[in-house]
Amino acid sequence: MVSDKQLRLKPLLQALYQTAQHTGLNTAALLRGTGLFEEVFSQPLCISPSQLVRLLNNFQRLQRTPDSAFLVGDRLATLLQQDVATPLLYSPTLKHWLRAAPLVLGDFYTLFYVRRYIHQHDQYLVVTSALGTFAGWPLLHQILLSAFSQLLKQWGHQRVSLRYEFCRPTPTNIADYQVMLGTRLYFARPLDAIVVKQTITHLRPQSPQLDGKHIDATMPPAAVRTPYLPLVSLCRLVHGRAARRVTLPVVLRQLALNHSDLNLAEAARCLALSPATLKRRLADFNTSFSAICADASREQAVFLLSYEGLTNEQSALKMAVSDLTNFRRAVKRWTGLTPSQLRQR
Amino acid sequence: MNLTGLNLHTGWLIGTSSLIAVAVNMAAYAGQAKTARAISWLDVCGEGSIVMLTLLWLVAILASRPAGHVTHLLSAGLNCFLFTALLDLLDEFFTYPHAPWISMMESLPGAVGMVIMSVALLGWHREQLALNRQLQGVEWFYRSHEKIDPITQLYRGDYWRARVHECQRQQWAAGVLLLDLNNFRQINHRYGQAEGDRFLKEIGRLIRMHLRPHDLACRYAGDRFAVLLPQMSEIDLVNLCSQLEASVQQVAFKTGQQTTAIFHSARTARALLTPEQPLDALLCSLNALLDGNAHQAAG
Repeated sequence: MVSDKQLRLKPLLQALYQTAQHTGLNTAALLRGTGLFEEVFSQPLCISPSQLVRLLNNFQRLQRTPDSAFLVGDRLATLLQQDVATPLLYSPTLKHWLRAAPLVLGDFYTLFYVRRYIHQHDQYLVVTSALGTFAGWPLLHQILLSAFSQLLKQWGHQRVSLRYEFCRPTPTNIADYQVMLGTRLYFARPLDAIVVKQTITHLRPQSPQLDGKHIDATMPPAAVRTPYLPLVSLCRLVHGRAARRVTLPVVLRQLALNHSDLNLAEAARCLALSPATLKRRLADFNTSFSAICADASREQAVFLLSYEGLTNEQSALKMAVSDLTNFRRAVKRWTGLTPSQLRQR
Repeated sequence: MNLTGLNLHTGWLIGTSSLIAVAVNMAAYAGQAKTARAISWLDVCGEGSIVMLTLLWLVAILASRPAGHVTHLLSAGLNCFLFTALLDLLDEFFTYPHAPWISMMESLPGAVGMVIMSVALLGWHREQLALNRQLQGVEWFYRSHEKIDPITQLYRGDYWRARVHECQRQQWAAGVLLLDLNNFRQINHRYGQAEGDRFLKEIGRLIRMHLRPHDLACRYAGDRFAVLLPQMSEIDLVNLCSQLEASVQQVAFKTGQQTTAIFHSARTARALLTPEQPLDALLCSLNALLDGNAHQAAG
């Protein structure tokens, strides 16, 4: 699990810094209150989740142009492509690309919690923050989506037709979204999600990427002979380890999703912490145990009722809630809408 | 407020400071100070705020405008008004039993200042008409400086969408055109963001050269430009698209000290505007065409 000052995010920090300089942002103001110094942008230093949150909040507050987040994401994609993300070019199909991306992107991917749902012919990748609640989340979300879209475009040699759903209402700068992410954009949806049609997961890139230049830069000669590396070797190759790190809110969210009646004492016992320490550590992420549980339940309830269109009984059964009246009340509390209103959305 | 523009107006800044010094010295020399009990602090607040705001207006004008005929007239008028307002404030602190001429000095410059400012306003009106003519092709009936893209100095996509929507609402016949640069990321990647921005700026100028005075060119987003063309037939729209694509291909862009030219290409998508077709759907199909995924629009 990620504890203090363990995040290695040099590409993201560089992209933020270069965009700040390019758009005329005061870099001293950007670093104010973060406990970071300017060398963090050039040297491979580790930072803590709370330092990153403060930096993103500052960027969100100071940004001068509405497309700043997309510029950061675009730049990040270029930096990642030159560095850790090069192996993604060898993915033979979109399905492999989507499986390899979390492993290859390392600590940048640690900032998000992506849960996969499958409904009919669509795969929903529901994206939530792994850093708790903070003002700069829309910025980080846009950075992720634009970097994701650009990396995918570089792999496929053309824009891959995905659907992007957003909780936020239609923004005034929708043109930036269209140019960066494509035209399949849906706003004011119940969840932030990337939707991939199951039929296109076998999509192959338009032209081979084996131009030799990329291979020599980052991969051992053996890889040249193998167009696609097995995922685990690929992960070890890039990070020197097989497991991906996760943050405390993500661990709790996973626990909450698997155990509907989880309470604070049990969660603390699972993590070998005292309840007070768990509360304090969650306060560092500006969140609480009950907020994480409510958000996890909200996500599940919204998907079951709004996307799958299940009845209250079926949804309650899937969420392991025994009391139906309590389920209706709980859905209203989590989402602000009744189950029937959610089904109509 | 960005005060770097004040560097151009040191003469006026010295003049205004001198004027304030003259007024204060004059009142102190010719007048007798009132006792604290005789001072009406309500009047001091009211007249003091007029002096401060006039000073602020003067600084705002000098910081915002280049030197010139209209700026000089505006500054002169405001200085006269400031002199009157300052004397008006000072007579709350001083009485002038032996200098009745001070009262005349107090009222006359204010009136003269107002006349000068009225002449300045006429000049400003003419200047604005000239500037509006300069902005032909990049601005339509509505000014919103916060929507101007700092790189190309064209309006951004949201301004363009609002104007197209206005066109549809008024049921004006018009054509819309989107132009996207091919592989623009390569320029940023190879030559740096600053050169990429310069290229975008030049392409913005190139597009403007192809337009009529009443057309509207904007930077839609990223490397995509949008043009709104009122009273444009289908055939003219097709011709304009091919002319723009050919022109972009002919641009021999040079970066830094290099003499080797970089050639680039662009692709366009076009449509005729109809009042019944929703703008979002129209833009979706045009953007999808540019992305090379025509099926995107359907999904």
